[in-house]
Amino acid sequence: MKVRTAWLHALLVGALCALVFAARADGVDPVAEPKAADREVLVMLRLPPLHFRPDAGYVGGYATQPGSAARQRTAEALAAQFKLRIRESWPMPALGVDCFVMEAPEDLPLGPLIERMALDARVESVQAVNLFRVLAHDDPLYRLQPTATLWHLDELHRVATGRNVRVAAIDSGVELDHPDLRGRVVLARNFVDTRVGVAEWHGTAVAGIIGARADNTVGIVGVAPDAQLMALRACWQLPGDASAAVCSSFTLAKALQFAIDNNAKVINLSLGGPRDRLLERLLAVAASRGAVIVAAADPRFADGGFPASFPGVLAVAADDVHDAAEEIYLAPGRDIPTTLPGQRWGLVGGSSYAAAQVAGLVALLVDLAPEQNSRQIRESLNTSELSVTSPPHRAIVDACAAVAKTVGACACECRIARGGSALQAH
Amino acid sequence: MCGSGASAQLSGTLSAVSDYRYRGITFSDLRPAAQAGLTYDDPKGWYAGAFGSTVQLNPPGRSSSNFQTIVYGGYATRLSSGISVEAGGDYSAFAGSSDLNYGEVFVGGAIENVNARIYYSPRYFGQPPRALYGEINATLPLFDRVGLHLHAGFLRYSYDSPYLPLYGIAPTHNVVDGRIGLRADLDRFQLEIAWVGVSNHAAAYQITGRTSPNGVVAAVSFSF
Repeated sequence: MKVRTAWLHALLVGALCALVFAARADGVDPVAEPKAADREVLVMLRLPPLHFRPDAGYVGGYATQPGSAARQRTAEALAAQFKLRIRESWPMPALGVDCFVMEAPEDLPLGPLIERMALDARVESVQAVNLFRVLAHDDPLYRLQPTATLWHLDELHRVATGRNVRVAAIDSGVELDHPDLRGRVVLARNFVDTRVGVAEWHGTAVAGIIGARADNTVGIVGVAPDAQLMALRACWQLPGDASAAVCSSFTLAKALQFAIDNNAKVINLSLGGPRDRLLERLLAVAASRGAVIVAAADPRFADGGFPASFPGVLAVAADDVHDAAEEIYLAPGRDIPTTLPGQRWGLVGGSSYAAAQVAGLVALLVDLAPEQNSRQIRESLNTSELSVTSPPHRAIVDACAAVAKTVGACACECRIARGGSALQAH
Repeated sequence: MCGSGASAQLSGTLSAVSDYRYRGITFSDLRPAAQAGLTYDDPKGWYAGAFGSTVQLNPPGRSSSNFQTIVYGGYATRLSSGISVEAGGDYSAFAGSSDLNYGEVFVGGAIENVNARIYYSPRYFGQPPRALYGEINATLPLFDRVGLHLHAGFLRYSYDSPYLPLYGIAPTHNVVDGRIGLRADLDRFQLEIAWVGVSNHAAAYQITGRTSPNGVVAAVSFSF
């Protein structure tokens, strides 16, 4: 019997080694970029809470609980019944669902399909896969307008640098070994494909604006140079236009779930697209757990589009947008120096980067007042009572005033009315 | 678009293990065992299930057993914070050795990759004294399909085994067990190899009729 046990051990060790090797190999093999999502639906199946079951073998997580096989079986039955093909799945315990991506054949209209699937008792919810685009423009002729000067970053960094604040940049890939970003990203994940180290334009630019290393003799200084950056690749760069990238409901949902799981305090979404029920639910969970969500406002929509217009989300547009809704904050949006792939730097502009700067500023505010909740942090940015613009615009972000409002003392040029008295910076 | 989402789930496993370790103690005389489990999850959070395993228990002075059945049930819910909490009970029955049967109640909590529970039994394995067992389990994903599984357990009971002195072991009321395993999930099959250790190898001699040395165990499971 001992001989048989030894053989069983040897067999299992060999199988495990083969699987480890296979898993590692998967991580470096490039795969094709995701297909267009116009034939895909997201089908959510209920994920029961983790609970005692003696056959689970002491496992700790949702992904390895035996019930995942049951949901896979249910998904296969649904796919067979509705003539779909399962492409991928992902547990989303923040919502209590397993999310399955299913592809419909060309001749099957998605609208009626979704309506029929929603009536099925096995389905928690179902929706189409939406596409989102990053909100940038790359006109190189914007006049130089250094944002560090407008926000007095040098002075702000004397009181806060975003230390220990986790900022999730949900975007395209970030060049992790860029001289201004090396060692600045504490967590990097790719939710688009299995490639590692994907360096893309938009994600690298956004990450640099938020948290590029300070005092390293090269490049720029991030708004929050000591924040803990999480580079979550949910968007992929389009061929032929380096500054353009798209993301899908599914990749964004996976990244949001990861940001929630890893206690991101600030989540930056420099992208926009149609309303999306799955993403709305995840944003609501993230906000309820204390994350401040910053989203770029799409200039094509008065309310900023989605996700900027979702309640509780801090919507940011570039300050050259003149018809933004009053709820949308305005931040410098032109000639912003930042990191670019290929160990380069360049000037960028657009609401994507305006939002990234505000995400960095929020990280500074959280650093200064970690006890404040996300609503208080958001409200700190509303410094209209200090506005010196004429007529006053409540939504122009004044970093010094926001810091002063958060801590009750001025860190740089600011004026604040609190309890009827004013604080004046020196 | 929201569905009715009212569907219950039935899931189960079939497993072969090289050595069935229960809280660090070998229940299969260090030999392979076959196991099966079935769990029903109600849409509202109630759950119930049954688990069966071949065993090789030869308690001294009592009849032996070659099969264990655990039936269990409880209620689990996911809080808005993301933490799942649960309360329930389980009952172990041993074929041919019913005096080992015992029940316990438990409460626990879980987050994404970590769960912890505390169990209380008024008659642990049919012995008069009460027992309290606490465990914490964690999974650390290593690669796409491979994870490191960690388990630590602590048993506190007030039974003075008459067999411990036979092994030169001082009576103890505290037993610690641990398990470190590498597990691969390949669709519906899972493979695991783990090291299992227990602080007192003779702690359950009165149940198993043998000691439980530290060692390596392997398992292959099929989930459905």
